[in-house]
Amino acid sequence: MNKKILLSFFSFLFVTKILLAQNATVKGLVKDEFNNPVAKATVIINELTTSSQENGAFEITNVPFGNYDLVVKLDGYTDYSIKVDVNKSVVDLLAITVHHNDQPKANVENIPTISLSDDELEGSGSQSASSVLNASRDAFQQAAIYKFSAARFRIRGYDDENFTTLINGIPNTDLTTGRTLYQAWSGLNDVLRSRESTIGMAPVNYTFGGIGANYSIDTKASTQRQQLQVSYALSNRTYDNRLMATYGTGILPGGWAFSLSASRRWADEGYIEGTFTDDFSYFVSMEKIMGRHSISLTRLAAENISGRSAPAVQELYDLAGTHYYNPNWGYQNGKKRNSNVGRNSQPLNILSHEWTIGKSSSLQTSIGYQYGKNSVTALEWYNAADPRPTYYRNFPSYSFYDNRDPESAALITQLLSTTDDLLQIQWDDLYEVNRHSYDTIRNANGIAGNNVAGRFAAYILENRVIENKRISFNSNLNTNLSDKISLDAGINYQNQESDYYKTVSDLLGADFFVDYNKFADLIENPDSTTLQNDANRPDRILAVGDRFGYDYTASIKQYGGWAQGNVKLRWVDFFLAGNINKTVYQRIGNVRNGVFTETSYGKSQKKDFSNYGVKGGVTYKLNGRNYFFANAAYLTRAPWFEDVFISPRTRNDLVKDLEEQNITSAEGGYLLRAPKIKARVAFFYAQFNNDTRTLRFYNDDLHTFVNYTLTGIDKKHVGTELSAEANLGRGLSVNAAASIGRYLFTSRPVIYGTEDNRDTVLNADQIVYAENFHVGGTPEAAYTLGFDYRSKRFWGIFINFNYFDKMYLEFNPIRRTSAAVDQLDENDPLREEVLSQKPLDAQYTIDVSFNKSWRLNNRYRLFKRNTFIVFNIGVDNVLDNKNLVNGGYEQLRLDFEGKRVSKFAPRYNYAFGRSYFVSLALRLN
Amino acid sequence: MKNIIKTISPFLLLLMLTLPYSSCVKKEFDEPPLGGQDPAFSANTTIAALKAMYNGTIIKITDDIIIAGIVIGDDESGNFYKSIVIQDATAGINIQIDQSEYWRSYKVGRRVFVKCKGLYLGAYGEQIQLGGYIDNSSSTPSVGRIPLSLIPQYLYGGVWGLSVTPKHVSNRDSLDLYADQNTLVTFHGVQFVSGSSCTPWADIAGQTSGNRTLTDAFGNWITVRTSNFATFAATLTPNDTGSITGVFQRFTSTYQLVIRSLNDVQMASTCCSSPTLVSIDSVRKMFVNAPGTVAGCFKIRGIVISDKDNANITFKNIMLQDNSADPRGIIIRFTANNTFALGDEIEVNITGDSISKFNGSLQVKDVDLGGAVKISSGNVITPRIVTIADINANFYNWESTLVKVQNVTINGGTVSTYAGNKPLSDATGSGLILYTSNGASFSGVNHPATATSIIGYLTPYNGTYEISIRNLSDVIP
Repeated sequence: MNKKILLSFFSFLFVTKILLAQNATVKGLVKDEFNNPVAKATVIINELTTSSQENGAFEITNVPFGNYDLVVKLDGYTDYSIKVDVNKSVVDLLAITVHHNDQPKANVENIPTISLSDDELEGSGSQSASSVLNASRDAFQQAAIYKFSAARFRIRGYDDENFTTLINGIPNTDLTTGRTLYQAWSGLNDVLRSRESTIGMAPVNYTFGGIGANYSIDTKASTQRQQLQVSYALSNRTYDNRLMATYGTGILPGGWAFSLSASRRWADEGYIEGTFTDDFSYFVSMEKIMGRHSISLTRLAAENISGRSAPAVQELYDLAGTHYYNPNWGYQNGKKRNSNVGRNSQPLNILSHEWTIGKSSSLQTSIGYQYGKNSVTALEWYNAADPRPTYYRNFPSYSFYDNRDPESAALITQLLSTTDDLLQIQWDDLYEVNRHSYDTIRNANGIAGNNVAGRFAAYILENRVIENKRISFNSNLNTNLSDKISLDAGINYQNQESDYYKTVSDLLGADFFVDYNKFADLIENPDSTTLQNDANRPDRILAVGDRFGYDYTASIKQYGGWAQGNVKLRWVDFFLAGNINKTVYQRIGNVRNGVFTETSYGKSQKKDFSNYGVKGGVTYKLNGRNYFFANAAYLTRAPWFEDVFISPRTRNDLVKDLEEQNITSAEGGYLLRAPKIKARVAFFYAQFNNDTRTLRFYNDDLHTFVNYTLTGIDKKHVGTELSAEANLGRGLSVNAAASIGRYLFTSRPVIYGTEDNRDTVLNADQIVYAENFHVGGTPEAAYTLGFDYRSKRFWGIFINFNYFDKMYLEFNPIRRTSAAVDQLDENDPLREEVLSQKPLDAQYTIDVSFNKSWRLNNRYRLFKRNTFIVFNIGVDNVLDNKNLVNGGYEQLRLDFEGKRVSKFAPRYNYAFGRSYFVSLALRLN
Repeated sequence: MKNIIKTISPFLLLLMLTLPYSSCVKKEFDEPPLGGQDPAFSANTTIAALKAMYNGTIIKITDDIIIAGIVIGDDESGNFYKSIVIQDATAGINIQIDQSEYWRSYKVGRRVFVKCKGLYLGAYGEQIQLGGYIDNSSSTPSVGRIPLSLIPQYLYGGVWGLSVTPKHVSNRDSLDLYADQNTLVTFHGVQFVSGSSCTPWADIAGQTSGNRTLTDAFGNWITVRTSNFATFAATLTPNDTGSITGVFQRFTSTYQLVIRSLNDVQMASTCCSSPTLVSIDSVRKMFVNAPGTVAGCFKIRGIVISDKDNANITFKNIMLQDNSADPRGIIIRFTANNTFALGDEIEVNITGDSISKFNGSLQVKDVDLGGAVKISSGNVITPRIVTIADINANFYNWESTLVKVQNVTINGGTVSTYAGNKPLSDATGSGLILYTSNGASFSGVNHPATATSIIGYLTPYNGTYEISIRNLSDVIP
């Protein structure tokens, strides 16, 4: 019906070119993956279109010389796009293979589920990109996202901040940490398929970007597929059930387009015991096209509630007899209750305007507003014993130490390994204690003589909240100055206000809690002010929902601009890009901390950073199939908000001698685009210099939170990426990908340590001997080899073998100081034990999937339109390998006296064992 | 028509998805039933009977012995560290557990049942205790604490909020070191002996427990032992007679008492723990003809006008002047050398210190350095500008304060070293002596014949009016 509008729309979307004197004929054959000719496919090049014949052949005449995107489109097939260099009178593209799109790639739903630690509340952590960023045609990215995600593979080992994701031009990044907010769109896979993804530093026309990869997602209703799709899925991963529905109108008469999508995903208990999830996501997009202008409005929302798991030490996994032990839950009244329940809701609203200016320019302008809350609950206690089962004194090893009490140790081992309940939270005991903790708070709420008596909660469930408001503005201009030269440029502005505070979530049977700072050092400063979390409102009685503890606002402004020039010649393309930006940070204390009465309340000084970046590259086109490329970049970057302030939870003090990070990166490689084989090899190098990071943790010896700011962190990442896909014919194809690198620290950072309960410096200028330590947190070597078979009868089977090696935990810098090995003899084996960074065991997984689709309208007259049923089943880790450590960390706490690493052993996360995903979808085009 | 269906269907679809929203995952939790009941089993042995099993060496309990007692000592105030004391009708015992802040679960007044099988019975300082293992880390084996995760296997909480009536005694010797150990006792008519009264219950800075001695009406001594981790450790012990309750313990032949909190202490006190700030002038007026002591709980505040770095004053002394409109000063003589510098603002507790004259100048003597606190430093006092005639008229009011005299002739105009007595004169008269100690850093330096101005503090010396400079910058030639 609206095909014409659709086509012309796409043609101006994809191709904007000026006419040229010399014209050519472009021809080829459209085939499917089974080598069958495909008829009636629309072929578009430079606003010229035609349809393929019964034998698949097509021919377009009068194509001006130049570089173009040739697009092949047909309902039921994935859109196909190829760069075509029209430089002679007849360009024969030979066979173009299009794929049935009702045969989704295997394994479509491997959303990484691993429990988020508290730190990761602020983003989804830097674990592998959400599966929504899929469907790139690049075999390497496919592997990185699906096959390697079990090991939490990070492309090139880079931190998440080096990857940029834009939605209609609006960056989807948390400005306090630089992390991508994946959870903002989880569950909306169906409508986020329209995207560009570019690995490395290759030029993109929408941003200057990061050095890792750049993604641009288009949510405009006109680019969404015209369809109605309903699907239901069963799984045993983070969720058990998924219901998803998506509807797209395509472009309606009058230039309107609408798109809607919604999904529900839930599990009473996920793969890991005690975890649960309950997600509701929806997407609404509408667009009005008015000639050369288009205005669109999009709202993406994902509301998530989940019970989380947490990494644990090996001793606990051994006692529990499973690598999926989860210390976060316990029985309450016989039901499993999780103490760490996360809630996310950060809807994103985008208003966009697109303007096609003349034949050669376009301007896209967007305003985004994102707001919402992230929170996670946790146990908190006041003058009471640590209620968490992970407390180190609970373990047999504590009694075994020095062979002090082997009898008890054996008893504890026997007890904890046979009574699983004892490794969990004892909720009923916490209630019992709270119900009998009568106390009187004198001069409560700061009112003299106001004495409040009742049950003062020894234990509560607190809710740690981050409330974000972010306004973004972005405008990009793309223009072709000639057929050889194009220019891209943009300006952007972002303003983020994030409130960090805690609320009382559950009093667990008590009457009230009081806003006291349990870490306050009352021995040295025994006055009543010290004890107050908020000296402005002393001795405040707290009920459920009340704010308490820390309470501050991070205010961040960031603005800048970028420009990029591209030159495309017959044999060679090159580009040069630059950006400048400014970042302004301010902390606003909303309470007056009793320990830091002078520096905690009100506005901090503003700290600003000016940064810039340049990048450039060249692609040499040997012919239409062989490309060589090289790119390089140099940029400076401001430290992140959480690293700029010594302790944002307590005070306005800035880290001393703050400096910017600078990054030098280069890459080069070879690209093969032959009809039967596609391959890519790339070498990458990145040197990160002068980074600043702050580690924060509870130090039981000092009885307070401590902040260790590390400055002068240098890291070097070098490596090779390989990927290849070969069509062996008869529906069989083979794919392979590998990433082999070394990610090392190249400097000795310096620690500046402070406490949260005293205005003293713990250590200044302590050197971390970290040179040649591995960055960790991702495998340095990851391999996959896969075989696909696609039958002519619309089914396919896929198998992949994945192998991960050279994996390291992120190391504890405090363990690599001279203080950590103080008084140890040079030959003492303990010295090696404390200092070394040991690799984790190499691991493998095998993933298998199968899918099949039925086209109902061919068989039953009942269905007038194209109607498909698509069935998909995927089994990951078929051999049930439960030994893949895919995350964890060395505990920051250290046994300085005994030098015993095992006292505060590393905490691990294990990747899921065998897991499945089955889905059934009905689609009407 | 088709378009209408198309338009409506998405909204139906959204509705469909929203409907089950509230019911997908239910995570509402009931509160557990009210606890606070005794366990289903009961005690089969008295604490006295359990104690009697101890024969001088550590034994492991192998029988199914269950005792029950009410907690009389917990760690709420930090005074019992990883040790819980329970008492039944027959006796009391302490149990060593490896848990801090255990009072939340085993609070004073809660009945606790102990399944003793597997525990160890031993003694420390002849006091019998229960523990979890044999600790061989020192030369004499002792019972070690029950490991954290095993505590719930041995200790079972019962009813809360019970009370134990203490044994009331006025004569310490009516207690038996064996039978009464680890029971609740109230001593009547007792008082802390001198040296133990008006002192902190424990030494926080020295990180040591405090042993404070009580005496009863019969002259028997009882040691009150307090941990430096007790929340009240810094509070001063009372100095009046009264009653005190606590857990009675022994250490070999020593009678010990450990209190749970200050609520256990019913003794009046006139100790000075929060002194009242008084003016230097009012302290000067406390001296009436003869030496005396500061009667009252007082402190003074002022700025140091002496310069220890140039040593024209002895190291135990400082000259302290207030910054009132008509300032007053006084000498503070500490019991030890002090480090207060010129310009420091300090606060000094002078409670009970003596006020006397030394060679005619008034001083507060025998002041404890621990009672002096620096508040700020770098303060500057502007001296009053006066003539020698003014000084002669107001000398004793201005004693120990800074003055500035202008256009002065020194030592009759004869240049010599500063050391010793040098007469001063100006246009208004003479009679003021510039005194410099031989120990002063500048005592060997020559003074000028005349000076445009001299700044110094006034001190009498047995009737002579003297002025002393702090350092050479006080003299402008």
